[in-house]
Amino acid sequence: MNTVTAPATGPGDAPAAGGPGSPAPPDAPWRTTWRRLWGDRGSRTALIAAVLLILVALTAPLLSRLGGWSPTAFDADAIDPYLGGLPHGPLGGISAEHWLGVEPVTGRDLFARVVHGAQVSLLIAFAATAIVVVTGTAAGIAAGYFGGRVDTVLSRLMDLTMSFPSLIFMIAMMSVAQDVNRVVLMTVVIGVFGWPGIARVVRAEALSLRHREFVEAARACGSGPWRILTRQVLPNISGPVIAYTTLLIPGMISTEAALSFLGVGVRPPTPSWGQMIAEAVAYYETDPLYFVVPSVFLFVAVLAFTVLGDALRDILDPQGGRP
Amino acid sequence: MSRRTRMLSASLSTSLALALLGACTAQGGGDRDPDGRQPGVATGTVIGGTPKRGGTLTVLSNQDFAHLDPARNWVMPTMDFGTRLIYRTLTTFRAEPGKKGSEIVPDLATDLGRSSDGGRTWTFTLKPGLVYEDGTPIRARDIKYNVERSFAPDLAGGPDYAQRYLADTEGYAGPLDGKHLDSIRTPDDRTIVFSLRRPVAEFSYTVTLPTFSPVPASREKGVQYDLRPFSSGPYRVESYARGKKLVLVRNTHWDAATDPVRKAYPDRIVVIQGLKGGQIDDRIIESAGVDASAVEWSDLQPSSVAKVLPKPGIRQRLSAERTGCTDMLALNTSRAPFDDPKLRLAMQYAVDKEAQVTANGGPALNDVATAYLPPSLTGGRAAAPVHDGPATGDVKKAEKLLAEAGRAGGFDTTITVSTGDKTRAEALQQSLSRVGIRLRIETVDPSVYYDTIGDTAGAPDMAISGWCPDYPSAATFLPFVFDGRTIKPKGNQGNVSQFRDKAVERRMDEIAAMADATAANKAWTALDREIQRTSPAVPLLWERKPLLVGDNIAGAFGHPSWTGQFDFAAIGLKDPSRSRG
Repeated sequence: MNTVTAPATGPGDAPAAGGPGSPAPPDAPWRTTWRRLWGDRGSRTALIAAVLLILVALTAPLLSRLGGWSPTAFDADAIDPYLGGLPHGPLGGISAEHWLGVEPVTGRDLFARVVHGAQVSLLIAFAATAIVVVTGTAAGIAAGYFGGRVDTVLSRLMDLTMSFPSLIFMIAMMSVAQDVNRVVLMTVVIGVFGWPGIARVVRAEALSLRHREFVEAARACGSGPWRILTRQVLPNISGPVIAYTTLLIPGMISTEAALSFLGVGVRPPTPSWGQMIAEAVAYYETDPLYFVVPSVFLFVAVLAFTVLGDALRDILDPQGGRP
Repeated sequence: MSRRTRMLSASLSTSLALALLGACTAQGGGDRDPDGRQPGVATGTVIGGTPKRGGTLTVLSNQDFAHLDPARNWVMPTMDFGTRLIYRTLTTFRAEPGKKGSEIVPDLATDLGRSSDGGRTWTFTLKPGLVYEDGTPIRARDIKYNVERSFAPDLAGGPDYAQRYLADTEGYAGPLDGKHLDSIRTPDDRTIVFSLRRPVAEFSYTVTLPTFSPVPASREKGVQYDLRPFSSGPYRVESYARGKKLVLVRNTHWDAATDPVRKAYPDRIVVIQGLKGGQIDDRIIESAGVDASAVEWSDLQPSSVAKVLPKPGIRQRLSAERTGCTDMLALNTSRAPFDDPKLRLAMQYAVDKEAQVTANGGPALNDVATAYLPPSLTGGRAAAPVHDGPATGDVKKAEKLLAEAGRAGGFDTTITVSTGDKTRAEALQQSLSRVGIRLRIETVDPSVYYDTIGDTAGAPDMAISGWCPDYPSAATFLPFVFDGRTIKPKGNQGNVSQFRDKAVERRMDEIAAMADATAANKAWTALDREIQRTSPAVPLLWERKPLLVGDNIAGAFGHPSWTGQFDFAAIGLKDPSRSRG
């Protein structure tokens, strides 16, 4: 929401104002949200963790330079070739040189790979979420506001996409399209199957909004549908959309990891968490730390974004539709 | 065999002798003490002593057999399994570990064959009293029939030596439509005469292949024969659910008096397929219950090595025989960039073979290859390298060659590997990046790997490809890997480089026609060096095959003729009563 829309939110802002918190002054919904988010210990921790992960992803090249290893550099000295390439030393080869140990067989630095993996995982997760949110919101708003034939067509399309066996289709797509940029392809493929969920939530909201007084008033004043959609309807569904978006991200992170785990992820030698976990499975007994490191990162990322999303939904969309 | 099976992972590692080895780098062809540093038991040692008769031997496998039909069986360990247990061949290898295992003895035949006409005609006489699993006699014409079957397009995948060696086979498409070959004659039920198109000095070895085992025409079932080969050996198929379970039971009509090779200790042999590689290792390490009487079919996983080597009790159950195969990086010579010999030569120096050793299980299980022909075909010693330099590669020299080829800045190229070889591809990628070559890795499922690289039009620039000699002769190696006339548009195997060179082909024909085996061997070794100078492939590794056995297994040793797979003719149990779970 920006200042232009502020007058419209007054009468229409039932969700934000209806929360259990103190009645907010009309111009400070963000401050309320922030205060409640920060005030709760759980969501504060999640927020910090999420911001840290994003920072790690953004500064991955710097961090790995700090660690002294590139994610693709082999280190033959860190492993014992006679023991199946297991890292030298206890705890998966953790040392002053390799902060989180090394990958068995290749001796690649786990710290460098895991921070670069964060880059890939979060980039794909955020980009796919963006696709889902934009498509889903646009489709939902159109279906809910215009109704009739538009609604029928879009709703059937949502049903169709939802009933599609998406994971199988993704695996097939990834194995057929050999020459495409894998990151782009994964983003698009994951994104294409995610939009109906959010579209349904948005459609329900838009459906109830289209007959509200302020929308009728705008229509009576001669506003066109574009103006009504962007100025009246959209600002009023932004709460659920934001909450839903945050909840989507952990799902996207896991989907990316799942695809990489199944061997249809990014092209080697690009690191990704799912791929690292897949490779580490064989070493769970002999080098457990190799398995633990990427798993902990994946776990923290998914947990942080889930807690954050839950908190945001409680604040922005308290009675709102669970996806 | 022909190609090696690069199913699942194909890698291993191990070491033993950690103390001895410390820091050794195998540079060039430095031959090291073969046994002092071997991971498992020494070459030539039998694990578990002499077996007792009886019990159930379990084989745990992660994959189905490619083909058990003797006309189609051309994958190394499966050839071992088929010819040792289910069908007999005219001659076969001794059931002994080490060098003696490469010697052949008569099997169905009374001797190793008699040649006449300068090696163009070979005559074999069958032993009297040989019978199938139903007691009917084995006749010479049944062997002829199976050789003919290997020509049938429907029954593809088997050894193609009959096509290569027999005379007058133009246009012949197998016996399924009633046509027969004139170049194999069976004057009576116990005599078979092969007429060859050129002299073949080692034809006694050729007839160890499953192509030369008997199949009665009355049992012909076309492609279905794969499911239930009719037994002439010590065991018959009781049940076979492909990809799940094969059960063999004793063939009561098999007579040990006619068979000097097969010991047939167990009463039953059960092959359980479709297991996960790591689980198989864990089960056999544990050796609980029936798993104590089990052996593994496919290689120990690299990640399991650390569970085996530090424990002497388990390590002495590990066999790690040399495979006798050469693992190569095939360069696609049919188009840019590797149609330029300069670039191919640069690859010889750009590749870090030491990193390949590590990625494939470490120096205990791999030697750096310095020639196409494995040491077993060049007198037991690694050949002196044509392109010398450290095993980690010679970056300066590679850069110089690249500059001469006008690609000083490197170039983009692709490799296709099966998913199990991803780490090896990454090691390659890393080593090529030192000279600016940007390698893109495509990974494909192991089951479609050979189809992908065998499609000559869509083949990648590079592929990791291995070849194993079918018997100890370079004639079963170089002509399969570097003869341009063998290239097929689909299902191309062996000559993955698509290497075509008229001079090399002419020389191969000349050597193949030599009657003197020693001279031929010398000539093959010289030709190997000749081919290396145009560099259609980079020799990478000479591997060992690490296989674990349960602690109730006896008589187990890796057989040198079948890439180090256990010799199923001699394996059995220490205590048969423990095998009944």
